[in-house]
Amino acid sequence: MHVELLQGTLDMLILRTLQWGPQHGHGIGQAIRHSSADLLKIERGSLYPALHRLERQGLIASEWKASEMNRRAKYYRLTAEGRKHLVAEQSKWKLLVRTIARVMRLA
Amino acid sequence: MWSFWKRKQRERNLDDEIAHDLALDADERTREGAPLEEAVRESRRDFGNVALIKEETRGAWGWVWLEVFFQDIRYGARTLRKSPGFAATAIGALALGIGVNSASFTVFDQIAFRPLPIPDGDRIVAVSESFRGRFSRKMHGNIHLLSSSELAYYAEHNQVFLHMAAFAPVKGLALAGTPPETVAGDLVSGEYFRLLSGRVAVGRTLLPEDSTAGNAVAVLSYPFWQRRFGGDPAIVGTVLRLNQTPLTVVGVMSADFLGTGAKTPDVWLPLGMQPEVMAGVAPEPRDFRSAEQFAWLNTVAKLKPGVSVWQAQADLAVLSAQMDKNFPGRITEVSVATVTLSGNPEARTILLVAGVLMLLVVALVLLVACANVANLLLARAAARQREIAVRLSIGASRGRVIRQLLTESAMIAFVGGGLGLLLARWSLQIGYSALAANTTMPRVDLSLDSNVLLYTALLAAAACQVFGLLPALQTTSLDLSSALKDESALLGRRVSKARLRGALVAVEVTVSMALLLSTGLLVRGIVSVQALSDKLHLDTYVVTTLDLRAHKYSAARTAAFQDGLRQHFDRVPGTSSSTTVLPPFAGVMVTAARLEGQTEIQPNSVNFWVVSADYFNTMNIQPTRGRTFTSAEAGRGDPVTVISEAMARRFWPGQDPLGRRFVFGPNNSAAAMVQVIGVVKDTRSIHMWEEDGPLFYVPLVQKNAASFSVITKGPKPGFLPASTVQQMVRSLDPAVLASTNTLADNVEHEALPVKVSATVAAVLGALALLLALVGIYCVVTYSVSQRTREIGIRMALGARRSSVIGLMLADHMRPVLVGMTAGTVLGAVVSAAASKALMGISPLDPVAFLEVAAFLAAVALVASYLPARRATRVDPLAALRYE
Repeated sequence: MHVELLQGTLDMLILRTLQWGPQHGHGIGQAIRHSSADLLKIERGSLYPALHRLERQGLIASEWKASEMNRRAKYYRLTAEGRKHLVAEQSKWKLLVRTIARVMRLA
Repeated sequence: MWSFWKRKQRERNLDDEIAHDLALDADERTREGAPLEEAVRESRRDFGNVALIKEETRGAWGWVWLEVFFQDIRYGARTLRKSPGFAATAIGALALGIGVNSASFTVFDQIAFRPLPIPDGDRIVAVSESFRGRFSRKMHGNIHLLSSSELAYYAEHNQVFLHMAAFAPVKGLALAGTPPETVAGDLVSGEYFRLLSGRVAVGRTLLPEDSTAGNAVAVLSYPFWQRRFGGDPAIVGTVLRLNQTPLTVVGVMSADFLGTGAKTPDVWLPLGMQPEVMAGVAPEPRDFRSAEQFAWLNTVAKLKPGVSVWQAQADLAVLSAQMDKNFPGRITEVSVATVTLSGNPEARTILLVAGVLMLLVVALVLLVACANVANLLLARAAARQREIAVRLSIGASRGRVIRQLLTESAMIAFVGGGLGLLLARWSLQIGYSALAANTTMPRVDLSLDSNVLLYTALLAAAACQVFGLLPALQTTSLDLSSALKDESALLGRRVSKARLRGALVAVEVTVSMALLLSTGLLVRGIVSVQALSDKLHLDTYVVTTLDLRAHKYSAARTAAFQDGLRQHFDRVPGTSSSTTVLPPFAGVMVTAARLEGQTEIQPNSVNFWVVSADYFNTMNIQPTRGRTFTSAEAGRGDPVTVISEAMARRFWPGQDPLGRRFVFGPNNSAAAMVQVIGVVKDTRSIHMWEEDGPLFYVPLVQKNAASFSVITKGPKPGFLPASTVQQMVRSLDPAVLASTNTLADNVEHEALPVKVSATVAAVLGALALLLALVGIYCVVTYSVSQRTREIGIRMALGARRSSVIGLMLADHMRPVLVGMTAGTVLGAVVSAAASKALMGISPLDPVAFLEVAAFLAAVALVASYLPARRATRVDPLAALRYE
């Protein structure tokens, strides 16, 4: 079973994943997949444009390093601004979830 | 270069990033036990369309649109370079189309919109008035000019102008000296030169004191100073005699001061000199300045900084309403407009209408060019179908491909537009110098300005949409699988595409046909008038025109001068001369008439000639009843008249006109009755291309005719050189100037506007035809290449060459015929609307229609036959082997 990603949440998921430390594109995709217990599968067609967009917005930065298999890989990491953005997004998200949950309970 | 390198780097990094992702994915799969090859394949499949992902990732780089734009341009330039024939044809067609539009607009813009080329020219405005309601107004010039008192009122009470100045052109000033000549002057108010920031080459300009003190002074224009006085600075302080009035030259304007009219005058005089300079020349009143309701002043005013034309107009409207209180029933509409070369509101309206019509006509030529390029693009698109199908199938979106195709169109459009601009400037320069060589042209500044650039850019952009969008949409809406296989025919769609191309050809032919028809009709008119003029030997009639008004002759001296002159003419052997107020083909007098015994004035006006008794002999006009008048009758000014047969038919149908009496002109009293003593044959004396309508002749009374012409009929052209005539005139009075020409010249002069229109229509028609022919040629070429297989089959089955060619021609002549029919209708409608310009040729003249139709059909046939011939060179085997 797969869950459809809500519009606009991919950025938050990427930022959250990078809180654990720098990671490359493949790793980010896998991490989201694993931590969602295989329910979320991130399309590469969404992931890479999102990464490059976040980088342009200055929320993440990148550098080229040797990866686990001794390959040259592009590692993304969170910037200070990205951290702030993530905190803000997270509290907004929590509020949204709580609100929707309340409405659904009452209904 | 740096950004290019960075871009490369970035592309490489993106490739690496994705390759790394794929490799890791494949690694994981092999670790789970899959064979390496399968792992790689599955990774790729799960990953998705790599090219598309890259494209979308690049989209996140932000500046991608610019990147894509440059990429499109590079790609477009490459594809255009690869098909130079196509590129040259398309760009050439557009350059022609845009060039002719840009040239027409330049002329229009120059005359109608461009402010005077002086400092703050856009703040120099003209004030003019239109009137409604009850009013009576005399004028010198036109009704929209201001009177002296109106100008003074505006100047005193307005809140919007820094200064106001006035000028009034006076033509035909007689300048005494050797040789005498006529010059054109402007009477100007004291503020005129200051307002226009005029600088002098020598001496000083006219000042406000000159007007107030009534100084008899003059300022020369630079060209006149150079021409007449060789640029001699000692001219300042000398005295010129203009219309017998002595004027001291106080200065010469600098070469860049051109004045405020379409032509730079020769001299400027203070407004205060009007009564002296115009005495005897202009009608009453003698002094324009003190006359109420007398329109004669052109105004120029300089807006205060920050004041708009509309504010100025509102301000003056209040003042004109105040003035209207003195004239109950009069409603004045004042209008303020930036000073351009186009003059008063009336002239401006006519000019705007004519200009817009002209622009519409030339826009048609551009439309033809666009239809052509669209056709070329369609043909090319078919050749590129495989390329585009490949692009679409490897993941390019339809929008992306359309954008690419439109970029190519835009490149064609803008290169074409640029070339068109060059072409326009070049042709304008040639055209202007050609015209300026024959006639005196108003000055035109043909330099580029932002208006022309903007107009050309807009045209190019519009053209790009017109010719580019349709083919781009057509091309990208294709069925991928069939296009990728070599099923080039796309049988289902071919019909509609062919129809579209046919329609484009039909449009081209329609426009060409209409333009060529107009040309044909105009040329037929010119030729027939010329032939008639030759048949009547109009070049053996010398017309000598004199104007004694500026020389302030008394009535007795006027009569003596005419007698003396006629004696000179009558001594030239083998000739016969006569005197007339106006010569034929140079205007005619018009009057209302009232018959004796009737109180009603005849509803239609009548033309009349004022002539000496020998006019009928010189012009060979035979009386059919009664007699013509004698010199004695003319000398006494007897109330007799000779009428034309047309006049007899109209006024006294079925009756004997001899002895009848009527009265004409402003003097309506019975005492001014004239009696009909003879009837003469109808003539062509007003326009060469039509019989005169009702017409009568009255005797010329020498002492009353200070402006007159002598017509001399000689044995052969050139029998009386102009220098001989000048000598005769000079022997009577060295100050008087005569101008000579022939009746043939008059006819030619009358036909000049028609010739100009015919030339313009011919050039446009030729352009449109050229474009249409290229269009037909391309369509047939393309169609032959598309139908190679079909032709191969036909020939394999035994079809003869001629029948194959016939088939191709039949297919392609159909849109041509449709276009010709539509063009004929369009041409007939246009010519019927402009039938006055056709010089007696019927707007449905069968000769012109047949000639033009035959010509167009013939060239269209050739244009389609040449490529159609290729069809027969198709080798049936080769064509079929393609399968």
